[in-house]
Amino acid sequence: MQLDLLVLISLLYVGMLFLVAFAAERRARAGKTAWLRSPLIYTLSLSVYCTGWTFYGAVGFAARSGLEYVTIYLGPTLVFIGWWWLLRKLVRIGRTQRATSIADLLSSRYGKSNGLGILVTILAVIGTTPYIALQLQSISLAVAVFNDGGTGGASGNTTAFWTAIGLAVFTVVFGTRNLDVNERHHGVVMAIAVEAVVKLFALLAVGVFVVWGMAGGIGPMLQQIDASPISAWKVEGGRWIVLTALSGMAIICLPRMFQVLVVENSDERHLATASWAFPLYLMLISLFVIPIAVVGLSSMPSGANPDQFVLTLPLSEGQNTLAVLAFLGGFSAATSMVIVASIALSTMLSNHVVMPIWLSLQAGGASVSGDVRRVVLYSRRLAIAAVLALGYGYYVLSGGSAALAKIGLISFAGVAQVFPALIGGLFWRGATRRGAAAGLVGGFLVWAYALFLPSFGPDAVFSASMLAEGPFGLSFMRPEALFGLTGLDPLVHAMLWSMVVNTGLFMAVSLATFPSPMERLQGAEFVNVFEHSSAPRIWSGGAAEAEDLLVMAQRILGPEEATELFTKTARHQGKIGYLPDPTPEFLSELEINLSGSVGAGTAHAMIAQVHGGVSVSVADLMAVADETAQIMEYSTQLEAKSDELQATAQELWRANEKLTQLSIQKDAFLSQISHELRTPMTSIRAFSEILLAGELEPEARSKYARIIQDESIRLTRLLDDLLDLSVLEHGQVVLDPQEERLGDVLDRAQAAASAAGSGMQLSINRDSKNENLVVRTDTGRLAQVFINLISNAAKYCDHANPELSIKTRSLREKIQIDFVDNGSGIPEDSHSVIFEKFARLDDDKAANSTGGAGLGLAISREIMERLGGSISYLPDRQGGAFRVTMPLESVFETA
Amino acid sequence: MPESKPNLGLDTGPKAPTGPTLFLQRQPYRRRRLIDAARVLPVFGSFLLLVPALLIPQDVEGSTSSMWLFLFGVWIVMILSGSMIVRYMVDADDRDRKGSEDQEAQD
Repeated sequence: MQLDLLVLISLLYVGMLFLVAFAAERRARAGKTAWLRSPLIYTLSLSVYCTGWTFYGAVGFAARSGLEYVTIYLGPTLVFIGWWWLLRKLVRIGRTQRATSIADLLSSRYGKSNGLGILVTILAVIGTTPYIALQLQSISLAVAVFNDGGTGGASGNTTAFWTAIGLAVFTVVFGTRNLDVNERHHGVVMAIAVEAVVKLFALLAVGVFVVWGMAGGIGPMLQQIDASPISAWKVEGGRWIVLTALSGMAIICLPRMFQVLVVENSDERHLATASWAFPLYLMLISLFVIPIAVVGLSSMPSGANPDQFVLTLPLSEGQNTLAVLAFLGGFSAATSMVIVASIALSTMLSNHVVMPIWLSLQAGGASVSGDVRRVVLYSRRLAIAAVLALGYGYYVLSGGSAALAKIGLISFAGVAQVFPALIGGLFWRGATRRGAAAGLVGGFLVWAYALFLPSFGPDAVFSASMLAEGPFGLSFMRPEALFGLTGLDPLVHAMLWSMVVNTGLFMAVSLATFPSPMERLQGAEFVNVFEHSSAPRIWSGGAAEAEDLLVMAQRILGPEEATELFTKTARHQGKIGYLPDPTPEFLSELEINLSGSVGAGTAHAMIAQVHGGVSVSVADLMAVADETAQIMEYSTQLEAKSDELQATAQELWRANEKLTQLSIQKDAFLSQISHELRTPMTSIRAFSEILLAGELEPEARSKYARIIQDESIRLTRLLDDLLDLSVLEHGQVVLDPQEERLGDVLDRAQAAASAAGSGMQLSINRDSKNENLVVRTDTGRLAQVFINLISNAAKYCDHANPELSIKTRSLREKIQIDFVDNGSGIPEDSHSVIFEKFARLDDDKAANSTGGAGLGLAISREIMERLGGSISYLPDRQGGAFRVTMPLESVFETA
Repeated sequence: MPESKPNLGLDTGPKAPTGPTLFLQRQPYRRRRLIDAARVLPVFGSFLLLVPALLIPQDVEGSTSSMWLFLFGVWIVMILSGSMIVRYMVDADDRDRKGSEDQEAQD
């Protein structure tokens, strides 16, 4: 077959892909995205998983290790069948966070740390570059099969070179055509979907030809399988499970898979369809691999490369059309992988490496003149070229050797190092940035040491002696038998150790470190993505100039999109025709839009720059909240203290008042008592002096002696009263409870009063039938009160015919005894003082004649209080009226 | 994930009004069971695809063709079950949407 014809066919095919991509872009621009964004296209675009390595290599894999090749498809199948567990969450988070790549997702999850983004980017580049080289190799080998029978050689490099150039052009044209806020590439996805159909159709066609055209149907085919040397293969449990797990991890972690699975996803429901449709695709792709391998092994010459059976079998049978179809299938598989992988890597490189560097070099910040959009696009284009150059360089350096064939799984294992950090980030809020970084670095180093570097063979990177005996003769450090774990398959061994180290470091460091507030916030956003999707951060508005924001947004989103966004927001804010206010909501929305183009970390940094550094980070907010809480607590404490102080002050004030009053009372008491004592003492002294002078009439002498006696008695009574009051006031009185009829107590009191005030004209009215009550109290003291009240009435009643009526009433447990005379009563202004000591009213009529010390009512009040009752003046009666209230049975301690 | 309690007719919660609501309640229940199925399917699949690999002794003569048939059989059954679950889920979603619209219309 002519090479020129093949090249022509390939060019035509590529031309067709360009047309398809153009048409798709055109339809997308016209807004007709319904068909472009269907579950079918989504599922087909996922087939970038099946690369040239799948297309050619699976047969070779089967020829070498039997059915083991299906593990590469079983892992993804299980992940997709189990979409409800993981993929659903991953896609939702990727969409709500506008993740542009897996590096962006991890950076976003771990506090928008660009460091982590760079780390994942580097890891992805190292893991993907050999894989791109593998694709270039598969194309050049395929071309070589047509050219000279599959020996490759110098022409291989030329093919690989031009393929790389062509792929770079295609990817630049359709992958960096625009900076979509959603980072979606309609043209690329459509072209990939077409390629997916081509490669599946090609492989199925070859399979059908082999089974029915060469083997003679299903039955003979099965017999041939069992007869084939492939059947000597035995299941190796360890490898089987590790490979399945590895491919399951890879489908989530491979940058290109994240690109088509999450970034290009336009509707979450498409994932539901893909959950069974993609496994179906994988099943169909791998269906005829064993038959092709079996028939190839039996019908091709023994030296033939089983990796090329898909091409060489039809060619050897003279089926040139089928061979060309198979070539196009392999070409599709290889190119689609390279296109998507380089788009994904270029996004990562530009968002996490180029943009941060460029931003830091721009002293003026993000709002100075110059188109960031152009910078982003150029950096992406350069990154695509660089990624393809790296792949090509790797291909040339590795010499297109058989070592490349192994690189597929090794690359998977490298990329799978992202898995623990990803899963931890999605399901464990305790995962921290440091933990993720430690796990990634640790796992990656183990992978490089135990798998990647030894894969180049002895004396390539590691010397043969080092591979056999370990570095410096440390046998436990042997790259392919770490810590004495010998006898394992190198891949299983490396996976085991790298995952143990990776997960162990990730967990341990996460547990030991404390996440930053932004990490904790993002952690909650990610883990609980189905419960809420709130705005992830808050910008404080006001300081940012809307114009600066517009300038910046135009440079990233493009003039039309930016203007549209701003106009829409302005309309929302009710400011038609003006720029919108930079409200926190608007800034957050803008940031999310920007992050669709330049990644979360960069978008955050750019808004921060335009904002003049007054962005309120969550850390700031938390600090402020902390401070506020502290101040609030402090102020509560102060308030409590001030309340306490106020209470104390009040108490002090009250105490002071009381003391002042007491002092006044004491002064008054002293002056009164001295006055009270001096009056009788003066008379006694005067008359005793007269008596001493002698020569007095016996009559006068006896008169003076009586005066002295009277005054002495009065003095004694005063002192008795004072003593009595003092005892009562200090509660030292001893009460003697007895039962007695109230009438008898009153009788005694009346008699005593009459005896004391001889010549008393007071007539007393009593209602003796009400007095027929038995009281239990200290009746002696009670009588004292009654005597006092009766003698007071006798002394002070100013009526011509003084009368005192004593009325008794019993109220359930209590007795009320009113003493009411018919005098003029006590003047109103004296009501409050009558119970005070020495409160003798200035009533000249009574003053000297009665000789009362003014202590009677004070004593009476004290007594009644001791007896559990009270005494009060009744101001609303005509004359002087006192009411004694007391319980029927006084309760008091008997000493 | 909230789990619906098994309805044993002993529900002491607020009484559901009779009528169409009964059927509206059945659907979230069905949906939950579909989610359960979606969750369990990969577990069963993993069991069938991985455990035999561990248990098959190395020295027993096996037929690659029968193993090929077994693997692809399990694969096809998984794909069919998965597609059925998703189909019913989408149907349940549509009914839910329609149901809630109906309810809104009634209101």
